[in-house]
Amino acid sequence: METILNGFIKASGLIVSLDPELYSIILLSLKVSGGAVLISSLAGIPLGAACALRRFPGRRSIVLLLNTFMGFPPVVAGLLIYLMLSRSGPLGFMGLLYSPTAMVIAQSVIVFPIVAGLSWSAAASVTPRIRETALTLGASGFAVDWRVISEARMQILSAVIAGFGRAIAEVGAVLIVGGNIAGYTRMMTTAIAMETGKGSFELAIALGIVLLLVAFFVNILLKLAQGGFSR
Amino acid sequence: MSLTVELHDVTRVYGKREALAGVSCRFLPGRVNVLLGPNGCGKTTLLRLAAFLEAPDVGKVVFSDGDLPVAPGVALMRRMTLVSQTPVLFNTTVFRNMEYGLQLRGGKEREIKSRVFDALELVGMGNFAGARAASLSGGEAQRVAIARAYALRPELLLLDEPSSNLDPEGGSVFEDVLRKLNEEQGTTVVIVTHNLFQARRLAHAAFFMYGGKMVEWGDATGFFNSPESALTSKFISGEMVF
Repeated sequence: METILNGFIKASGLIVSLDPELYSIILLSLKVSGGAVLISSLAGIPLGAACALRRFPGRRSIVLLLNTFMGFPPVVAGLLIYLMLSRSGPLGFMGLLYSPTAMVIAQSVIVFPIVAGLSWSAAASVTPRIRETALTLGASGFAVDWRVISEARMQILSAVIAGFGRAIAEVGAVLIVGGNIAGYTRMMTTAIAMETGKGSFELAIALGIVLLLVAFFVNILLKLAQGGFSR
Repeated sequence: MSLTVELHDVTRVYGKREALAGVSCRFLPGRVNVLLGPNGCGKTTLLRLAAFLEAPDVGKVVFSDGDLPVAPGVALMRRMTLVSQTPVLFNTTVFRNMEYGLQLRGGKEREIKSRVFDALELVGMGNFAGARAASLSGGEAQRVAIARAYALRPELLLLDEPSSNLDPEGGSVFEDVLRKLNEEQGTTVVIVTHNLFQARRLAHAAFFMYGGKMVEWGDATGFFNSPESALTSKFISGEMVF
């Protein structure tokens, strides 16, 4: 119990004193996860919306794949990206392994199905009467689709936030492709795992507190997006 | 001359049920056309076909302006609109709902604002422009839907029991709006209603449907005072129980 208490006291000191190591880890985590969510959203929202709003060959298969990969085990994703980026892999010539870029790619692979799948679900749940109303008011083509997507905007925002929550808390894939290199690819989750292993709880607890705070703010955003506070 | 719609031998089938069975008719341009009939007789299907929300399985839906045929497409769709029985408003403010169709038609901001507020005033919703659509009652939402249609100044207005959610005052406001559009803009109106009093008050021409077929239509006075069909007679006298 004393260890935990001491850990908390020292962790608070690290947070308050703006410890450079702590804050560089936090910043890298936010950059990597933010980048992955940005890429996943730019590709996933249009794909999810297209699957919900358009009829084209392979649409059902895409939705099935998205739903399947929403539960993609991060370590498996990490392993696949590792094999692709390793020196003997097809993309090995790019020299991306053990870099933040590799971690962004790995997290994107994990987050993309979540954002795309939830965006599909959001757009598909908009009543067909919205589409019909837009048509009767003179909308056509993309304007009708945009109206439907606008109606689903809160659920789509929730999808993005859920994706970010998954990315920031992810440890397996970034550990495999990033290598947890101090000052370069060390993220909050990988640092917590390593510091705990070393028995050095101060930094682990400080990072744990920050990670919890990030999760807390993500949750608040999620609730706000869903209008939970107005109910 | 006004835009109008006519059906040529139109059939529409849902599964095994024939919602429309070889319907042919022409709605009078620039007039208020009332479409009557019991539930399930095909009135709503007819309006949906006229609004391009569905396509006929057999037959043709044709639009004309005077003697000139009008080709289907976005330009035609922006000359008309439909108000349904249950109002559908977008999840945004009343003002944004109102300006949507006007923006699609490329209206200028100043003119859009003026039309929106005029229309809202007309239906007694002048103070609701900033309100969220989701916060409105059913009757208020229906008033906004009617105002939204009015603001578009459509040449062809399709109405599917638009006053069924309205209180007596709302119903009266709706009828005023409809007359104003018809008299001032020359809008062709096709309205489905179960309110026979309202039908008599508004109609220039009346149409009676039964079992997916157009049974009778004609000038409103003749239709209500001396219907030719026994079915029509039973319906407008209230004897038809369904």
